[in-house]
Formats: sequence, structure tokens, C-alpha cells
Amino acid sequence: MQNNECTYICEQYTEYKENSLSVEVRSKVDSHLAICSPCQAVFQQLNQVLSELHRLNPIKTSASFTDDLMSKIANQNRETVWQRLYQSSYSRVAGYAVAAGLMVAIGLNIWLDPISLGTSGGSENFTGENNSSTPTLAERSDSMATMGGDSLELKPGTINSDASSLQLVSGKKP
Amino acid sequence: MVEKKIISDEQLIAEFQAGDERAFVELVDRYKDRLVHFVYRFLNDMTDAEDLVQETFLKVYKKKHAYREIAKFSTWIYTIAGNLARSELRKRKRRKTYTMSSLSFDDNEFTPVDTDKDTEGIVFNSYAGEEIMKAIENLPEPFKTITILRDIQELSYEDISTILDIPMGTVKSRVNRARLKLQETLSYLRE
Repeated sequence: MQNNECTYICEQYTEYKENSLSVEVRSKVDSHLAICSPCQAVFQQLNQVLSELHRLNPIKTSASFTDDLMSKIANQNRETVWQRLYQSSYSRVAGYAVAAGLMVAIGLNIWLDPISLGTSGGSENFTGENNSSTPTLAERSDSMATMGGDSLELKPGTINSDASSLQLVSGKKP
Repeated sequence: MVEKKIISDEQLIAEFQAGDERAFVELVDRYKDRLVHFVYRFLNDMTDAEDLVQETFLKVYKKKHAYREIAKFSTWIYTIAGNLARSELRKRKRRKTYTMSSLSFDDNEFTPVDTDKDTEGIVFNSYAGEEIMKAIENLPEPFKTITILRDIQELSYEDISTILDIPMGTVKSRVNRARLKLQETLSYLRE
């Protein structure tokens, strides 16, 4: 481009080609092109570039494009069903209700029978009182002593309260 | 089948919104090549271009009710694809800027050419075609988009104006400037 006039003319190329210039501007471009060979060359080159752009081979997607897309959609739909179920207010409310029910059940259990949580056999209580229906340690040992086979024998009198000791003798009962 | 061909895109999306999945498949068939062609010019990678266009269709599928018939379907779907492509380019640019920070590029509009080109399946008409491709790739972003939409996809100025959300006058002037830049770049081929 030679000068400002040439720059102006080249800026009109697209509209010149599309016949959207005013009559006045179009005749100005025509008269300039008639005398300016560099601008003529630019216009010719622009025509070539455009025809080459239009000739570019269209790009084709791979043969499996649509199938791949539809299987992606199917996967997403499957996920969405679960997500919908998870996110639905109904299932959330049901979940909260189950959780609350469990909490109430556990709470009631603790309130009504706090001891049962802490004892496994139920033979002794925390007050230290012996339950009449449950055998004492000595009674239990005696009953064990009557059993055959290997046993632990608690000898009467070996409980020494002063020494706070308990002696157990291993042996076989006849 | 013959009847399908005369159904407009807008009618198809309306049918899809009403629950007809076949209308969606028809829209995919109509637009998949055009969109991949459009996106490929940005990304220069066929696999990435196809992935991005699939993402575009997934968005259309999920957000089908977001479409209102105040705009053409084509401008809507091109806008979605264009936005996804630009966002992908920004991600790539950040990655490349980070790795090439020592080269200190000053031109914000410069998009580094992807050296990992995947041109499998693409046949160019001629050597000149390949040169044109390179010249388009090296155009600054606004001119590249305009060239793709106008001179390759042959969309109307009105559609481009809607897709890019810029005035029609700006579209026209950018088209001309982009063509002049291409002509300048390619002038050596004719010497």
C-alpha cells in the first residue's frame, strides 16, 4: 500500500466485493484501482485468499462421534437418576426421619436401662449389693470345684482380708 | 426422512424440548462437522476439537430449556462452542505462559501455535491450503475468530454479531482487517 489513499481503498475491499458500498465510494474505489497497480495487486491477492479459504476441505468428525456422544448422554442420565433420587427432598426427609428414629431409640434405651449398657452378666450392680439370685465369687468357685476336669479351686480360709490376697490353687478334682 | 430435511433447526430444538430425542440426534448430525471445523481452527487438535464439540452438545442436551426462540439455534450453539473453545485456549495459554515465562511474550493476543498438532484425517487441497491454515492459526484471536466464522463457516454478519456480541460494523471492519492480514502473510507465496 502506497499511502493513506491506498490504505483507505484497501479497507473498502470487503464491502466492495459484496456490493454494499455507496455509489459514491464505489466509484472512488474504481477510479483509484484504475490508476494504482499495487492496490490492484492487493485486491487480486485478497480474491485468491478468499477463494482458497472457501476451498479448504471441510473437516469431518470421526464415524463414532454421534454414538460416543449418545453413550455419554446415557451414562449421564443414569447418574442423574441416582443423583435425583439422592437429592430429592423426599429421600432426604426419609433419611432424616430414619436417623432421628435411631437417635430416639438409642436415647430411650439409655434412659430406661442405663446399667445394662455397662454390665454383661447382670449379676452385680454398681452399689456393691449382692443380688440374692446371683452367686457370690466363693459360691461360684465352690460350684466350679464340684465339676470334673481341670478347674481352679478356691480353698476356704485363703481369703485373707488383712493381706488382701486371694490364693487360687490349680488341681484336678477326683 | 425427506420430511426431516425441511424442518428448521428451531423446529427441531422445539421438538427436542418437548421430549423427542430423535430431533436432538438430527441436530447433532447437522452441526457436528461444522462445529468441529470451527473449533479445530482454534485448538489445532482434532481429538480436543471433537471432545469440545461433544461437550457443547452435552450442554445443549442438559440445558435444552435455556434456548428461547429469540435467537437462531445456530447462533446459540456456536456461542456455546465458541465460549468453550476460548476458555480452553485461555487454559492452554496459562499453561504455556507458565512454561515459557522466560521468553516474556508481551503481545497479549499472541496464541502460541500448538506443536502437538494432530492433523490425522485432515487432507489439505494443496500446499497453499496448509500455508493458509498456518496463517490463520497465527492471526491474533479476534481476527482468527472472525475469519473462521465468516470466511470458512460462511456465517452472516448478523449471526457473527450475535455470536460474538459485537456490533455489526465492528464485525465488518474486523473481517476486512483479518483478510488484509492474511493477504500480507501469504503474499510471499505469490512472489
